[in-house]
Amino acid sequence: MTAATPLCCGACGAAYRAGDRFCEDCGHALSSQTRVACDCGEGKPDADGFCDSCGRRLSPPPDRDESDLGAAGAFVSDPGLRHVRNEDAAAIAVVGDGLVVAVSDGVSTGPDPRAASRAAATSAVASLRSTSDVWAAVEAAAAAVVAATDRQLLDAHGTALADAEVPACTLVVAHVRGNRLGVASVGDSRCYWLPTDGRPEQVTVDDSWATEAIADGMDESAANSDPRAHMITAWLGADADPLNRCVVERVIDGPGLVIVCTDGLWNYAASVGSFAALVAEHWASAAGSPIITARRLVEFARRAGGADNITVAVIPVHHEGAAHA
Amino acid sequence: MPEYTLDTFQNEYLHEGATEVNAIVTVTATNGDGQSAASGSAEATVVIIIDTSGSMAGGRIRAARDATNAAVSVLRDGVRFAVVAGTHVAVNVYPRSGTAVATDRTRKEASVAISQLRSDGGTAMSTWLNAAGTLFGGSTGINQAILLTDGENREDPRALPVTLKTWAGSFQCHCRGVGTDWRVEELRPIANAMLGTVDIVAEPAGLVDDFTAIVNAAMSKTQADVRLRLWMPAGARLNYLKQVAPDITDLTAKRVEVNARSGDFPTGAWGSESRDYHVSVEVGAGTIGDEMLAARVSLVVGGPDGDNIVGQSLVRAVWTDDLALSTRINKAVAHYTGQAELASVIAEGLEARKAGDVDTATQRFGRAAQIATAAGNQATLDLLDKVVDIEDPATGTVRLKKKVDAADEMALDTRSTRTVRVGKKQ
Repeated sequence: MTAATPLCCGACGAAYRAGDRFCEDCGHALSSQTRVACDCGEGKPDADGFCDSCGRRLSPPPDRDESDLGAAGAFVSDPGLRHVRNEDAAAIAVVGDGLVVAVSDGVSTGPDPRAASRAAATSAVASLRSTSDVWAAVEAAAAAVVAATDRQLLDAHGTALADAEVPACTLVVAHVRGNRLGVASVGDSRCYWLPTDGRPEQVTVDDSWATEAIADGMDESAANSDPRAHMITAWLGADADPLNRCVVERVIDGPGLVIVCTDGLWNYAASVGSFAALVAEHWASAAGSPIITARRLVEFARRAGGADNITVAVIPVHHEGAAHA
Repeated sequence: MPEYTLDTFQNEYLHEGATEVNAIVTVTATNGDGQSAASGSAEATVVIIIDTSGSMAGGRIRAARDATNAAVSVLRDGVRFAVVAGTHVAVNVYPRSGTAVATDRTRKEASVAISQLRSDGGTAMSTWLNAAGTLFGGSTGINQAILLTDGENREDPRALPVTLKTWAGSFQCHCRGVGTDWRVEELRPIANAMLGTVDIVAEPAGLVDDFTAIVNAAMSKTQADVRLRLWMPAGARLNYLKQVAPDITDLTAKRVEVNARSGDFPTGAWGSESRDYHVSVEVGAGTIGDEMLAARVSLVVGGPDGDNIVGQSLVRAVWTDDLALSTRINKAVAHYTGQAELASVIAEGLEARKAGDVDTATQRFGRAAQIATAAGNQATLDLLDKVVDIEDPATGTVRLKKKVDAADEMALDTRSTRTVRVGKKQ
């Protein structure tokens, strides 16, 4: 919306000035829920937020991001239904004869989560343009998140950063080249390898309270239903502990899909089996298009409740494990 | 119930002052349970028009009888049908009037009538189409006709355009020419106006498979009268709306106004299938940071209670000073722009060749070989290969063949509008 957009009365449509309490034409009390008219003077917003006469966007765009690399891969990032802002970020690029993707989920309890997730995703992919070391990409991302942190914030807290509220995020970095998959991760965003023939697997391990509790011996369903289950135990941020290197290298020698996503999607299909079935269904209905598969998976998560930001990257791996164009 | 999805592929970013917005919209229809179209679908009517002019004598009329018999024999019970013999007049062969409902009895009776088809007479295609149109009788079901001819239309040239105007939208007509004495430029306007296909069947024996395929395709349709509805903002102008897959058909001139902002474009009947469309819109220039809805593409199906919108997709424009964004070319748009160029350079090459302009023909066919190679359109390359010797497809170096089979030339002519789907090699 531009500064010059006139406000108009929800009852009769007459324009009024900001600060008026009653409409001069019809006398209705003016609430904050007024219709916004378009500068063109002819139309009002349609269901998608565009003027139904001149087409100009009237309501803010839905904070959605997409990247379509054709058959090589794609991602979609969506705010979901409950959050006003999208604090997830992703980046994807063809690098050499392979493909790199980074997905990051900004921690919403801290300040400016978007600064963190965007810095992390873009610097991770940038790093992979010059090296194929996925952990180096994570370290570059960690540095970028710190650099994006307001200097004032850091100076104010001196060495007691653990008490500071700073931008923080998760990160998954995946590099697909030939029949090799390299994945590094911090936090509870995930990477899956879903072969066409063969057992699907969650390649990453969540850095989450539930995962650690289960590793310590707690019963799985008790751990997963504990209110602390989704608390992350590692992240990128100026207040984070030194990172434990967490890299998985896999040979992927058959056709299948590499999926990288935030918990806004996998929360609705948390087991590997249910996640694999979900992706297979939407891949089939999208006739092998990564961008359409990604859009449909986002739609699924929104229809299932959309409680969090939803980001998913779909990277097909073709026959003989060969690199894709 | 069929389900429809529409997806937009475009680069929505425009540099300052840019006004042209291009997008590919893929429309996919699925019939859910994968069963045949029989239950609860719209009524289907098939009319088969056979040229029985004198030139069809011998092998051609025999093959036409066989093909019509084969087509009638695959008709599902309940489908309505009729067979028309066309010369300088049209005669209802079976039934004597109106259409019949396919049953064992009517299929047998039709077969008897078809076996009595004889060739004798002239060719006046407008009378054939008028007869077919009358047989469909204003029904709103899935109306499909096959028109088979072997020669040129011999009537007042004003008759056919008037006929096409009368019946456009009432039924779809798939045109087939057997042998090489007919003219592509006579059948193509019929196919275009009647939302059908046109093709050559060089050898009469090929008619059986061709007719059966057309009838089976007709019976697989589940929704008649599917339209693309295009909304554009005030001040915008449509450059064109073309179907670009499975083959190129320009729908721009078929627009029917709905209101000041919207118009409908007919697309005929649909079964379980997918088609791609290229939308090109000219909008008023926006300033950096503006976003505009350049077009809203909806799919509309007619129903007893009026029109239903069964899917939609948005085509947007976003003005930016980021050149990295605005100079990106969307792959799908680039691909189909190339396929459209391919079809038009082939048409130009054929025309130049007929006019004896060897240089132009060579240059055009060379460009065609280039585009077809780059797009992986092997089918078109194979057709080109019968008309030119392709020396280097990458640089478009070709040589016209001295002798070109008329059937090969006509095959290139009729099939040059078939496209490959973006991202897939043929």
